[in-house]
Amino acid sequence: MSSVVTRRDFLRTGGQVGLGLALGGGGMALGGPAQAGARVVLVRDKEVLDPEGRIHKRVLASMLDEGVKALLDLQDASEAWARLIQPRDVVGIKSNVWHYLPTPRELEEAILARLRDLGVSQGRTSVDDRGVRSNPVFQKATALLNVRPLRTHFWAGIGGCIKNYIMFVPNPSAYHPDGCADLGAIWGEPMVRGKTRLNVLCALTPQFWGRGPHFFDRRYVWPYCGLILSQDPVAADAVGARLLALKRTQFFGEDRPLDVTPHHIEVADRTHGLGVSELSRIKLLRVGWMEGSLI
Amino acid sequence: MLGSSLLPALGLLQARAGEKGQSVAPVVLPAQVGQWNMEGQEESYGSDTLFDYMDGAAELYLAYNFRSMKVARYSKGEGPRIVLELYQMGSSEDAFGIFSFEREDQEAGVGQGSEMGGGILRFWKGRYFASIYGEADGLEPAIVEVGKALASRIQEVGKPPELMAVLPDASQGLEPASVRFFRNHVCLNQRFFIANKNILQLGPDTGGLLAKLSGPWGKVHLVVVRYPSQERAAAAEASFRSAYMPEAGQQSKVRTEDGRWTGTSRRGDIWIGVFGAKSQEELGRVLEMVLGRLGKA
Repeated sequence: MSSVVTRRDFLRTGGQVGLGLALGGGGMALGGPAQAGARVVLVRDKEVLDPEGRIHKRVLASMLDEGVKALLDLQDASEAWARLIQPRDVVGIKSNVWHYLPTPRELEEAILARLRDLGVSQGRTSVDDRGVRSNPVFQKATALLNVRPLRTHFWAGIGGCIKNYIMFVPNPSAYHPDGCADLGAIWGEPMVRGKTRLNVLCALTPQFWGRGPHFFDRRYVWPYCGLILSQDPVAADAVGARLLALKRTQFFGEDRPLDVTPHHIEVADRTHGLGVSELSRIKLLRVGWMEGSLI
Repeated sequence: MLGSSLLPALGLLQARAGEKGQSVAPVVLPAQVGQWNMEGQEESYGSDTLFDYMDGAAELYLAYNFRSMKVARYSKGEGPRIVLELYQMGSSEDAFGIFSFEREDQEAGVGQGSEMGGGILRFWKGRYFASIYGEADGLEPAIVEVGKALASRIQEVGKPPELMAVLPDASQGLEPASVRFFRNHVCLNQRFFIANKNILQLGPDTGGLLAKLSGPWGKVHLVVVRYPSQERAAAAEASFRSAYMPEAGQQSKVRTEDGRWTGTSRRGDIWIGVFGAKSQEELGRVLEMVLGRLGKA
């Protein structure tokens, strides 16, 4: 058993027991240069949610535009979107329908509106989650937009951009071993390889802890009012995982580790070469309201 | 106020079921609880379709010998619903196990063990585990009533794991809410990481308990596992010693890198591990305390 890692190994190094990667800590290139790294945008607006938690469509659409502009370092939203999508593209918007915390319809509609503005005809766009494999638009898609909420996930640590593509494979449970470590491999499948133009982690009401059969508990979501955008799904998830870890520490008063660490993020980087997982190599650009941003 | 005005029982046919391998008649879900009526038909899922119903935690239920489940939704005609999920597990140990794995809230007085928090009622009874939750805040009283109505329809009364008898009681430092029953190393690791490999050779036919004990010895983690045979237990003991405390030689204890002590013992088919004692002497005290209770398991 030469490859056995025990509790004692973590005691020896002073690390967090059971946590195999540094997503729970470490520094981020907060606005500074990230060498050969990735860009991630955090955009927040406290007006996006009303006191009852309803989403203001216009505010959300504006946040999306501001995020895309910052990500591509452009001043004009239309120009920024045009860098991502061409009128001739066939665009699949990979959403997430999880009952408790789905991709908000308002966010899907904001993206669809932008695609219409770009001249992508309605028949060349589709929003889908569990039906992507049989969806004609996704089958012939030239571009994918990956949009989903940020949350903890019982078996993968977090549900983020990387994991959102699991519905592109016929046998999702085949990716469950070792805390879904090899989710990054899915991104090499022909249906998705090289097609993703933008990843959006919806952090309007992220979920930082979970329990129960559906791993959802209303106590453990909070109105963060944010979006996390990146062209690098690994970097977006690394930032998202960091945010959730910081929120757990704030909420519980201790660094409460997840049942399953989100090590699939690091594996996606180091094994599958999908993106950047090291926070120190991620340039985080902040846009908008930053009170209580944690990151 | 919610009463127990359930529709006439459509045959409370549950057998006073035994444990593993014995069939058990299905529980008939209540069609009505007070003003809350079941919407449409209940749904059923098996181990081959569980992933269709839940995203994420299905693996956990399968690890506790999940057999089947039913889902029903209750409403008062409009407004948020109450969702009832009833899981039939392989044994009452498994039902207790899945309950104990995520326990973190206050007892709610339903079934053989329960908790209520975050709008979710969880309880176990017999070989059944139930999770009932509301789609909005403020439904807790109604959720508890639905839970009690369901629990009354489960005739079977199960036994918690016999291994519980070896645990010290609260007066001896046991933190009762910390007790978790597990079957495999993945579940054990999620509550107390020991090793990335299955060095305790756990599997579907083993059962173990994890508990925290506080006392003069500090706060220690106690792991107790029952194997199907003495041979299996001996092999697991050897495996653990080789992987976790190779320098211990014939000793059954080692001072770990945090300056605390870990020790093990085995009697027949039961293996005991104590992690994190303040001193050798205190480690010995905890082990002796548990060994002294072995005859009760």
